[in-house]
Amino acid sequence: MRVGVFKFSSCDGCQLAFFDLEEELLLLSEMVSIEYFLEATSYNRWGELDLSFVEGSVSTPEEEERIKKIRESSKFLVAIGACAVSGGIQSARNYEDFSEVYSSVYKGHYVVNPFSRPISDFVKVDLEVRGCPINRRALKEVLVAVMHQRSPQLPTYPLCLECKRKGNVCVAVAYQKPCLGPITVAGCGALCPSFERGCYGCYGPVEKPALEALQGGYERLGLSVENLKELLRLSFNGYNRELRGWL
Amino acid sequence: MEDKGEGRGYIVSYQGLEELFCRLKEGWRVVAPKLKEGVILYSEVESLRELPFGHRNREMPGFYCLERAEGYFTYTHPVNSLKAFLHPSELVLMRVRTSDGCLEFEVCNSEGNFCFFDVRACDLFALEVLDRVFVHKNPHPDSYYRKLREGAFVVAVNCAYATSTCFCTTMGTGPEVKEGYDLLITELREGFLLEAGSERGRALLESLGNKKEAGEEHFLQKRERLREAEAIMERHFEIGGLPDRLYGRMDSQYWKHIEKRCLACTSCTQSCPTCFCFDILERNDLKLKESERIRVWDSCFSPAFATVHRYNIRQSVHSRYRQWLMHKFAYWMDQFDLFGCVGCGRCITWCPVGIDIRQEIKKVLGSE
Amino acid sequence: MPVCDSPYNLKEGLVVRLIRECENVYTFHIATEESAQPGQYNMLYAFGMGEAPITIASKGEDYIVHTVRAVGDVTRHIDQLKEGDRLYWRGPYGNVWELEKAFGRTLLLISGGLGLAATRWVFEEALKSSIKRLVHIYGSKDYENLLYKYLYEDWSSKAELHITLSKPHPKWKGRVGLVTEIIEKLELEEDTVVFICGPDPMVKACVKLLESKGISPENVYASLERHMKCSVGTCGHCMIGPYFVCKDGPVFRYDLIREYFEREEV
Repeated sequence: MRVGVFKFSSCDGCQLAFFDLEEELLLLSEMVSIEYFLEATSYNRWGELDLSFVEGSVSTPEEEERIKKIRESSKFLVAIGACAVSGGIQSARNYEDFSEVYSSVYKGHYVVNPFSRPISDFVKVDLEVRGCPINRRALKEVLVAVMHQRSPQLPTYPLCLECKRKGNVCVAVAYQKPCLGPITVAGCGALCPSFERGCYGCYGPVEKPALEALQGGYERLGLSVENLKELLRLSFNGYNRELRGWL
Repeated sequence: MEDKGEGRGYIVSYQGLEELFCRLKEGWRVVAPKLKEGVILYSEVESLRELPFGHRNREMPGFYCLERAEGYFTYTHPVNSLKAFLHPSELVLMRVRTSDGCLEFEVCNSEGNFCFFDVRACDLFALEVLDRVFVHKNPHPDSYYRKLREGAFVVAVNCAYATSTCFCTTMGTGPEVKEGYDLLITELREGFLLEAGSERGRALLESLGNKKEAGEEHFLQKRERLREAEAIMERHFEIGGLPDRLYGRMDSQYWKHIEKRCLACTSCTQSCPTCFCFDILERNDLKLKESERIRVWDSCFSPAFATVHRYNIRQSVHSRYRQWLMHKFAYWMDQFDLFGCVGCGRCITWCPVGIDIRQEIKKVLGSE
Repeated sequence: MPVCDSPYNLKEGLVVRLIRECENVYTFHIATEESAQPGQYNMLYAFGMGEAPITIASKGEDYIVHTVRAVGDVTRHIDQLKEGDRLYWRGPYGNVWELEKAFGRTLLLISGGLGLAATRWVFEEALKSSIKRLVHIYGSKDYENLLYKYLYEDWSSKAELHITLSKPHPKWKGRVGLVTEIIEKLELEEDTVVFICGPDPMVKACVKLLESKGISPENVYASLERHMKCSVGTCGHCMIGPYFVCKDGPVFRYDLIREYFEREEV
């Protein structure tokens, strides 16, 4: 199986999940042929691929073209991480005045689109792996599934379910901390609530998130509509399709 | 029926309780309430001192905190429930290995050997509910649950306090512990009243050192303590005929109103001591030589719960809420001859947006 | 307590015969002497993939018959099995068609698509019993997806067999249209017993029509399909109203299930 790993606008953190596979990485390298992975090898070819992982958002004209080429040469394309799935933290600019952002951040040196967009805004994505960054469990699940022809079992349910399975105490109730767990997809292992912090939504929203219910319910925690919107815009998933309309 | 020796009991001091606890530790894995991260949780404990004596949980819809209080068993039930020990949130059912097209199965069935110490009436009733779901009313008894549950020694405690989310009096499950225990503790002014509910409980009780026979005044005191708890709780609705009244409201406009408030976050079902729904997952190695079949807690609020051919039959949030409420208070009675609710109030306290099932039931009953 | 009493323990059997029905659908004969009855199903296991509930389509003395359409991970892998391969399963589960109720009366079987696998065995049993009149209506979406083509000749010589396709096909000389159009034309006594298995909308439409012909839902039985994980009445996924489809069904007397089956999102 020919595999490629590609980077777009991102911090490279999701690619590190491959190295996180540790002992299984060796096994994996025997089972698949890594054709393209700039972070891992100097020998990069770009031909037909069975499986492509794409990290990062599309935020420059060059990237708009490149993602189309990758799609054309990939049988199965997986968007990995909050940037590729939702536009990433850089999509916070989608809600700001672009000329201000451009002059203060990019200072006129780069060609940058006004919007940072998810991969799925440009090409068909076969699977999305959530998280900032993604974790090795999910990555392994995708690899096992694709290699052995079955559909990946990635959670679609809210974080609360995973958090409760783990035996955590609800931080929104016990410590009155606003937690985005109820509207965020599980998969991280309820990392933040396990350390008594509220989930900040880095795995992105569940399908049809109950935004109004959450907003109404969290008013008692002193969270205004504006506060909640701000939290979501900075959740690394602010430009996810499920959130765009509401923010 | 075992002889419970009704009306008999002993008074022991705190030291007596310690002696009892030590004896239990000799033969069992003792699970009891414990202070952890600012809340009370059932955990495996080593000594009686680990119990949250002198603490009191204050609970409201979507709110929990601890305060100090005078006495020992000053709190109510813990945040988690015994479900976590008998129907673990993640349980490997079997390991399957492949060699030459043949499969080898290793069934993973572990023993419990639990002593549940300090179990309140609601949680004790929840054990009865789970026993029926997994074993007694199940044509295919669940060996995993049975093995963890079998022989569990139960030390129950009568509540003298209730929080604002408790409603055991409405559901008829408490606060008085009536059956299903080996030993029962009631905290009185001058010590602890111990009563046996089984032969082995009686044997253990008789073998304790410093104790004195309880008199009529102690049983009167016990009644008083229970009445203190009862007085805190309101009767929210009548459970007689409740399933039929709910069946008559299945098309009510009321259900639509929950759509705007419920997060479908699953917290209520996961906090519930009797919600049993689970999923079975396969966990494989990269080479697909070994696969584990794992049972994990699931919830009727999960987006893929009732999926047939990739389509979830219950698309709307309100239909999932209706499924949950109807199951607890109507369907369950048809399935297992009791309610799926024991009135512990955990779903109310632990709902992040404070939806109160008692109020919702009143609303649905009052609707057209 | 022995560890072998897990309700999830699997049995093993050899695939002794394999028949390709159509694209993605295979019929397996699995060697076993386990007893089972028409209406019941087994949970078939595919290593590393999970399990899927599959109706028992027929049974011989030393084998059972399963017809499997590759729609998910489990069924896709099962459909790759060859004769001589091992298949793992557990069961049988669920209740049975109440064939005795139709003795001395007319029995109408209605199946849609893969639902034919669920009515095939009871049809075969009915052929051997004291049914007064036996009618079997089978609807398929197109010619390519017709199941058990090799049995039609035998069946139509012994009972009234009506097959209809949703789409015409050059090779198809028979009827084109919906199963309900056939029911409409049938003369049926009011005490006719009806067994249905097919997609939910088909079941609902048939029952409505049968009622207009004076057949009471008490005489109609439907085999339902719901999400099943454990099949032993514990995981909760297949609930419809107070019933667990896996153990209280899959066959339900229609008047008992109607208020849940016909209501939206129950």
